[in-house]
Amino acid sequence: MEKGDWGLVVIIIVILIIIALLTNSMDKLFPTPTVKEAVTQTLNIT
Amino acid sequence: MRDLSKEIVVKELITSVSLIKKHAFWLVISSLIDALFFLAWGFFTTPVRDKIVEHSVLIANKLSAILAEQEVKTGILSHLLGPQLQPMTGKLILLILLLFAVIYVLYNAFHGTSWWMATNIAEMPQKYREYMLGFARVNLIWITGYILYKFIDVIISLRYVIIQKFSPGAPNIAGKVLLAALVLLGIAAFFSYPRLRAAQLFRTPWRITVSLLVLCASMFLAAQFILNSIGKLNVDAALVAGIIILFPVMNLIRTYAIRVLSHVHTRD
Repeated sequence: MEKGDWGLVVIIIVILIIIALLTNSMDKLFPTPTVKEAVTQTLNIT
Repeated sequence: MRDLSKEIVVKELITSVSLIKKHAFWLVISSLIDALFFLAWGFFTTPVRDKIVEHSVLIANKLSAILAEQEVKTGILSHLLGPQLQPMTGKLILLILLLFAVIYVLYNAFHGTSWWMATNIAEMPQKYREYMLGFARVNLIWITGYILYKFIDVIISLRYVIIQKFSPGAPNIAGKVLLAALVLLGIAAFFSYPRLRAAQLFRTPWRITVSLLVLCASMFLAAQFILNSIGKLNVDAALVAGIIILFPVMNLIRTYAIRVLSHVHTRD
């Protein structure tokens, strides 16, 4: 492996860390209002 | 009688086995990267998949509530793109695209590195940077094909569910044709990695293509069979055997394909 190749390895690792953070904060990024919805629906019915 | 040991596909298989033994360091590192890929796959894709399921269930619930108010139960697509469901449908599409992007990055990062290590084992080294960029470029074609496959598969599966209601036991011919197209896509991708040329499969003489595929599939299936047999006796032992048998076999297959296809390239 050459000197410049290690730079690419670092970039890949950084991208993987960003993806790991992104995929593990899915609840914050894409909240699903299931509980809220369920309560609203129940209140509407009653 | 023909001397099979002089045939490229046989000669290179023997060479690949000796090269694997010679470059044990690369083999170990590459096997570890393959093992890490499986772990990363679950860690990275499961949260996105879970979100896709959550959104799908939510959309389905809302859609059935909307359809229940209607007399004619049609126009699902217009409802999905209508004002009530459009934000959720948009999010669902965004999540599906995110999943494909995650798969693309993971596959390139791990399998690209493994294939590059296989070029070193095969004693046909390439520059890491050049190889990874070429690998990512070639995979753009295959990921596009895979996305298309997934969308067509959803449409065909839904149609088949409706067809089965009218004619139970009807064969899913379109589904089988689509599966054959996916297998062809997989084979084309496998053939493209050694030289990083998308059309390599169609440039390779069919005799070499068939024998290479048969031998590679046999090695992989034999490793799987051994693993399954061990797994029936002891699951923990199968996990250890997976690292010892399956991943080195995967690397042998890569090295072998690189060696064989390099001959085909020089002949061309």
